[in-house]
Amino acid sequence: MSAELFDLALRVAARDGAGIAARLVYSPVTPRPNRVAIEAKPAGRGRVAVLACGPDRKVHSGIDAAGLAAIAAATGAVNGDIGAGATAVVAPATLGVLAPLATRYAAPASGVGIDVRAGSALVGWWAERSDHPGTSAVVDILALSRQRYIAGVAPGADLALWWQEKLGVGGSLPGMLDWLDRVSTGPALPTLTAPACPIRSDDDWLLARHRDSILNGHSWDSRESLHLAAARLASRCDAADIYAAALFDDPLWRARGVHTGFVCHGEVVAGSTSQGRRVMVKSRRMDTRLKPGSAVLGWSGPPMGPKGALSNQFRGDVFATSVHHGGLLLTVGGLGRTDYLPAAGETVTIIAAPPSASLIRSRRQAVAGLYRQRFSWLSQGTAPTTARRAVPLAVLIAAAETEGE
Amino acid sequence: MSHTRESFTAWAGAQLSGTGWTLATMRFATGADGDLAGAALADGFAAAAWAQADGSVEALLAVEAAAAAVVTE
Repeated sequence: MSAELFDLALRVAARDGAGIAARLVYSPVTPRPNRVAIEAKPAGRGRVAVLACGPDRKVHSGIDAAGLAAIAAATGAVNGDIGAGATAVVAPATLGVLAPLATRYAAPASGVGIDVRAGSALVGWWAERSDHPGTSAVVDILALSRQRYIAGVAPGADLALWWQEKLGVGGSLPGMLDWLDRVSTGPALPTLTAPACPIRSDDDWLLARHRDSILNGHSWDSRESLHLAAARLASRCDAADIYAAALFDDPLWRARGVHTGFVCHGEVVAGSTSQGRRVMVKSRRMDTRLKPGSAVLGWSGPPMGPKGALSNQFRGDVFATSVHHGGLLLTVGGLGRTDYLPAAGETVTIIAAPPSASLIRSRRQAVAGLYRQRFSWLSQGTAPTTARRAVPLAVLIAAAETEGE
Repeated sequence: MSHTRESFTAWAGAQLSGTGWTLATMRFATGADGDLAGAALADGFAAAAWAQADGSVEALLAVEAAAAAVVTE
């Protein structure tokens, strides 16, 4: 796998050109209309100093509870109504400092104003959703910049100051909002903006819970049922899977994906017909990650070409892989009745099929039903037999980081 | 600035070690004869050039937007 060399070429092109080069044509974030830049730092003796700047570009500040009130003021939630939420624009360490402060003021018994509770609920929402790639709740501005563009310097040398200078935005808190505008320009990845995208609906669901907790005088940090805890853990896996698939909406990411083995392309050597709904593709590269049994999505054209309309695409399963005359022969079968049927000689691109939003929803409903059943091992809490399953790498890394704390 | 350039050169040299390519020659990579490293370099430069070319990104986005409109109709 040689994706690092693909990145190196982009870096050299960036260094020799404008200083940055695009890694993605589409924006990988879907910020909400209401955006607030937040900065939080330890202020000694366990206190936290907070600065917040909302759409009116006024900077609000405070320490501890007053800091949470400053967040409410910047987001327009001083009356306790967090509305449709606000996207937090933060530096990498900010939420780690803010989250414990928010938890301290989660309950109404803490005897603070409704604005502090609104700020606390918003921070709690941001902290929870920040573990979900593709969320609309939080943007780590440095990570976003590195995802969207590649810098013409060695990795790690592109710190915040470097990006601010390169993008021509100020280093102040209002400058972070300009920074977000600069790196989220253009249309967002279509998968993330699709109406059925579970990441957005999960964002909204948790926001509504936090909003209700303020209105009903409850803590947003209350103990959860087994089902809810399990569902939220599963939603992290879903978000990681959906986001990984969403990146392949982007032609530049697909070009890179050829060198990670996630994108296979080649020439059709045996075309599909309405009788034999299978296609055989010969790829010059042998390092595909698509294995027999993998569900795949394909379309006519090279990896950087447009996927086009559904009538240009086909879905199926990898039936077999074999090596023939120094090339990889990939047989994809089970093409649908309305799928595009590639003919011999065409160039096609094939990727793993993205997760289905409807399947995710139906799986969640089935699991919820099992938790409600009296004799289900899920609702009883008895230990099941050991079973193996695939867990996205991002979830494993997040778990390992939590373990180490 | 020169320190930054030196560190980039050193880092890039380390990345290229063992590939047969150097910072001076990598732009000539084509990926022919099963050279996967050369193919990755060539594709990276081609992707950067495509993204910077006038109108190429806009043209692709227009095609995808038209296709999405067909789906939602």
